Amino acid sequence: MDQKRWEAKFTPMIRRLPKNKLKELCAPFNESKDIALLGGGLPNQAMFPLTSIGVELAGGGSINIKGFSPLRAAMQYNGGGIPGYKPFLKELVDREINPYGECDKDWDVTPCAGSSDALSKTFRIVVEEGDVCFLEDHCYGPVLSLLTGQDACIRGVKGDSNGIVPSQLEAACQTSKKEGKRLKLIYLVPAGGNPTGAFMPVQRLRDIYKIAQKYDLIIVEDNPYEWLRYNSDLKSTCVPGLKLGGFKPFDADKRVIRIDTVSKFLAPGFRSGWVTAPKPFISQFNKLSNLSSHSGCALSQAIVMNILKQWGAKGLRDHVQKVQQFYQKRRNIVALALDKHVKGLCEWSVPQAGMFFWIKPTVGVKNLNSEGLMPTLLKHKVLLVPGSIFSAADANSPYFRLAFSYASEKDLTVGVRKLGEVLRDVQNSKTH
Amino acid sequence: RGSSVASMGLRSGPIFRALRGRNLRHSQGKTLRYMSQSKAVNYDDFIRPHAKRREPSPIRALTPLLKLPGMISLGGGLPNPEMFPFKSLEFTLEDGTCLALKSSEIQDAFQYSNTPGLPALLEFLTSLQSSEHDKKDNDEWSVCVTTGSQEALSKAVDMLVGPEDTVIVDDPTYAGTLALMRPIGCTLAGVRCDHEGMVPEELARTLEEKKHLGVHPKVLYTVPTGQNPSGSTASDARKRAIYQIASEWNLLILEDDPYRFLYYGTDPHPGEEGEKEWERPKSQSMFSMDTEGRVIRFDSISKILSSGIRLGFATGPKELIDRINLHTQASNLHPSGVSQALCISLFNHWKLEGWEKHIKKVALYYMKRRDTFEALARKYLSEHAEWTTPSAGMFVWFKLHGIEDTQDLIQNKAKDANVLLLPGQAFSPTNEKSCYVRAAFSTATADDMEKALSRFAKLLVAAKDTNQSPS
Repeated sequence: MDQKRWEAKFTPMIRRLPKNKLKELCAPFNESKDIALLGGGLPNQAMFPLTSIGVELAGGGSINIKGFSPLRAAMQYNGGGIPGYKPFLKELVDREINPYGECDKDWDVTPCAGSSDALSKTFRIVVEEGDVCFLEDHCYGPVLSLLTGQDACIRGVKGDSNGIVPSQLEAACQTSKKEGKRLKLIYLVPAGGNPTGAFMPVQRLRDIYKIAQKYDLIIVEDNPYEWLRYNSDLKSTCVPGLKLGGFKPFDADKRVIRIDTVSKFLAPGFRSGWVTAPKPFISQFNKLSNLSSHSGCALSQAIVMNILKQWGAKGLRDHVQKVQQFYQKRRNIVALALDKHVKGLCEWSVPQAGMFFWIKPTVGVKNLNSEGLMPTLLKHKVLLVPGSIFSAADANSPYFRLAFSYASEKDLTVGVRKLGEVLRDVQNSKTH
Repeated sequence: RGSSVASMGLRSGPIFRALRGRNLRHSQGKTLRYMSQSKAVNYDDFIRPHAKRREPSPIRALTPLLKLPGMISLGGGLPNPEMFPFKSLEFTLEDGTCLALKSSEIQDAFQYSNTPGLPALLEFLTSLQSSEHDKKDNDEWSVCVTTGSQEALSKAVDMLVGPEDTVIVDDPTYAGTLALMRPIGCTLAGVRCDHEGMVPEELARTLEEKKHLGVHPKVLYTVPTGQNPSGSTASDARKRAIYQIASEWNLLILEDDPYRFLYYGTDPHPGEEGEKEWERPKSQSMFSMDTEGRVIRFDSISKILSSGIRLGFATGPKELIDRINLHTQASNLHPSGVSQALCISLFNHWKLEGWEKHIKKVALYYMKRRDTFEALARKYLSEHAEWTTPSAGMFVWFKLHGIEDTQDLIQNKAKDANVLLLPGQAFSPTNEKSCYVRAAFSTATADDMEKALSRFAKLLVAAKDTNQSPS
């Protein structure tokens, strides 16, 4: 998709975004060395009260932001990314995700204030009222809110443990087309989705990509959990390590917008991530950012960039491995506990990435609504999230989402045991 | 049967309503009504349909359940803080004081946190607003922290302004807001300003004119202190008059006030000896005058603490701030925890006294720069331009004699003259040609200021000569 085809997908509001005339006006002046500038209204850094910012790293080493330039980077308006950050991110992306060589120059990378910020801006750029947006039938909540807010036509598509099912997507596309609707995008979390924990293997990615090509869909790839991948062998302590992929490696059409975040592998408090996408899209994204949250917090960017630079490629890989090992252990605890306590009472797949198990009770009434089990859960003092909250169609759901990221190892085991008690209660109960 | 469960009324209580709230996703939302002594502002008439449809996150509704004794939560998908690679976070101040975060504070900084801001920061800002604007901390107004005040403004605009609306704005006004509003497709009705900002009679006239055309604006946007670009500052009397008119015409007011703390008055800098006794001149904000729940106020720390850490805060009627928070819940979730932690440390250390001390320092700093710059402006531009001494902020708005189009001047002639000021057209709501230029005195050294102004004067002389000579 070239510039023209991308522009045809933008909303009228975005097409009305003016060029930054002031910036254009000032640009030629910035090249001159002897310019006397009374143009820019920057606040004076001399009044910023901090002289240094220090972060000690858990694995050893520290970051110190001090001196005029580093402080300026962290504390001053940063116009779309602190100095050096965009090229740094581009290098990271180029290194860790192997694209076709010829795609590289057509891609750009830009920082954002976390993935939800990126999603909110992305949908404002490409989603018009009535546009059909395909998602998995159980999907990350804020995405549903955002798309509803844009008056999009949300179409949930059935998935399995490998993500959206191609035949289902094809059928959904055909139906929408017959209804005369405008098909715009598909939103996917290819690795370790929230809430389903689904993981799309390469063949599935290719199958979905073909359908996106056929119906000219933009692919919004939200990939926070690809950094948290696990071994499918429950007995192994090995982890896959940093292996990023998703759709980008074979996006010859340039229809993919990929969103990354530091939230799961560094910390969510930074509110920091980045978007990798074709240049026409990134250009609009930057314009829109300028009108709201900019590219997020400069201080966060400064700390993140400093850490990643200090670690280098190897340090980053080591850290990601460590994080994966930590979460994998917990995943395994839950997997074994499920085997022990709830076998025969529900269905689940062992997730290969992310933080969630997606559990479907097989006891109780037909067409069970897991929401209805909440009182029983509370009675046994265990909390899982009912699937209806994530339903794209606003429907009842039999599923529960179980998070293994946060509870202590002991609580994970006890919690699953209690889930077993809950399900046995349901099995034995006549009323429900 | 599970007495604690029953006693929480969970079957029909708020949790289940929230869980079932997914069915209300497409509902209109409650009618929002704010009753005050004299008037009721019905926010239902202002909030756009898509903003009304925003519902609280049902997962957040589960939070009270976590507090039940013995509860094991496998609910929330929080990353585990054991994996955050940070051991300590500390900041050093100019006086050498080192502020270090405790480990619990580090966790707060790095974990997902409260939508409107970390409680400690909200507490400080609420008491700041209470004291600064003489408002009792009560249920009628609240504060939310955002990723810069621009972000708060963009959410307020998203909530209130549609393509069919006409928005009242200052003329000239902040270019960033023009960029924000224009793509919506709304009409911008500029109201003439003078050195004290928006002129009340002009506002009244504009509203009458619009009424005759069947147009009923609902929102007024103004920058009352040290306005970018004009440097104008509205007197308390002006602000009262504007508020009065807004009340008569049932407008909501967006009070964008990033330069409030850079208000230093028209007197010259008191000199080094006078700095100690100097007091910030008082100024009543529109928020402080707001008895009817019409004002959303936007504050920023960008000019006084740091522009890069992206922290601003919006203050206003609870119903409207809540709506902004619902938007945040579905977009960037919350402002940067690291930035907030920095501020909390700083504010805990300073307390309101230290904050006031720093504000005073910043105001005096820009006041001195204003003096330096104005003296040079008088030296070089007295014959070529007129302007009003700014009493706040960092800008001077020069009206150039004999120049009709400053955009043409800057674009075509200024580069060769090696000087840059910003043409007024960029700040015109209706994109009209302007005879004004904006100069900023925030960062240039005294030498650079002199260089710039002398070059600019030469440029103006040359431009006039060109105009006068037959060509």
